[in-house]
Amino acid sequence: MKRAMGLIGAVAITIALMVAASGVAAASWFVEYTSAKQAVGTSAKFVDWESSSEKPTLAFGKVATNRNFNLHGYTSKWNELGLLPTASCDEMNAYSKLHATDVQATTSAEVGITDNPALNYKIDVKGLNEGSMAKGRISAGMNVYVVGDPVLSYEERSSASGLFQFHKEMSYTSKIATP
Amino acid sequence: MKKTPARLILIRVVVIALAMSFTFGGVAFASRNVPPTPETATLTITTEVVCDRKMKEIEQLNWECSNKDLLDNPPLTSGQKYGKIKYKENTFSSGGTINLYKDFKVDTGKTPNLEVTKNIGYTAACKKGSVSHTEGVGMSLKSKGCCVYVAAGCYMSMTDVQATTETKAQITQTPEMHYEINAGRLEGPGNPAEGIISASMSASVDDEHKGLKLRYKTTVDGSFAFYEVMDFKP
Repeated sequence: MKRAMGLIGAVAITIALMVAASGVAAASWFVEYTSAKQAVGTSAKFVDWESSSEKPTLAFGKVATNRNFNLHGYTSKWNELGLLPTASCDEMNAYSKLHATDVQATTSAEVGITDNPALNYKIDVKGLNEGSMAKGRISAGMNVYVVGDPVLSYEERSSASGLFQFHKEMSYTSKIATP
Repeated sequence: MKKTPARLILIRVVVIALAMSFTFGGVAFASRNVPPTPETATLTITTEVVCDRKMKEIEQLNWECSNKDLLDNPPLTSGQKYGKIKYKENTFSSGGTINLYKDFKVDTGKTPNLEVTKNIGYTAACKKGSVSHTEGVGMSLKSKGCCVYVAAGCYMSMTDVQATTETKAQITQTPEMHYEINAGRLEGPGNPAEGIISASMSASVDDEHKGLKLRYKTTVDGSFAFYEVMDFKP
């Protein structure tokens, strides 16, 4: 009976921790964004915008530090996607997917579409202690398609599983030369 | 093409410098570049990964440009120049620890238009552990009556290795390509790596009056230190 009560207590504490932690994480997902028209979905995971006079048009970052605090052992899990500025026929996106335990992760993204199209995405993942490695799996990459002159297509993806440290910076800019 | 059978040579060092000067003159060839388009793009990707189990990386670039309407190609009109740079890379490691650093840059307005440096360190932790790496770069230049195609790259499948590669290609100024690979063992320079490695370059130039074709490939299998530099320039 005591064991069962202990187990129920542990589950309750875990759920409470998860709820509290998800609130903090959701709040810190979007450091800053400005847009004329926007729609922010549940937990600020979805953003839609048309234009803005601010530079960059969209910027956000995320910091997560987790240790096994749910029953399944995987806590830091996200799937970030959807940076699609569409200036003329340019289309680009950068993304990361992370599923790990004992992890400290930081991402930041900047997108500009009103001046020169630009996309900067950065992700840094490591273990909780100095020099230690995260455990789980990660992938991050970038796709760029430009149809016009020049024609440019680019696809890149890195993934790792097991114990890992992962750092990636991806940047795309386009500009028209002034005569 | 040369091939060295496994275990015949314990330490093999290959140094090749390949520079091509065309008989129709460096100045004439230099002018076959495609001037930068008014709209330019830059891409910069930096990746650092340390991983003890599985790591995979894929990368693919295709860039085309022209001094006239690119979407109206072919046929090439008089005075039209067309240029293309392709790059492809695949890296996969399992059953060991990999330490990968890669710096990838594309600038369609400034030279070198493509610049990639890579550093791969790998040590197998079990009998089936290995890292495989394939990399290839190609560039083509076309105008009425002339066609130039150059490609270079490497393939390696290793159990213990410390390797660096450097790739450069440009078409908006004097057309040039540079490919360099240096593979040895983790402990330090001069020690042998284990596995199989090959590096190659091919070039084809078809002019109205002259033609040139060249293919060069080096393959080494066993324990080795490997260094190869290949340059294409007028």
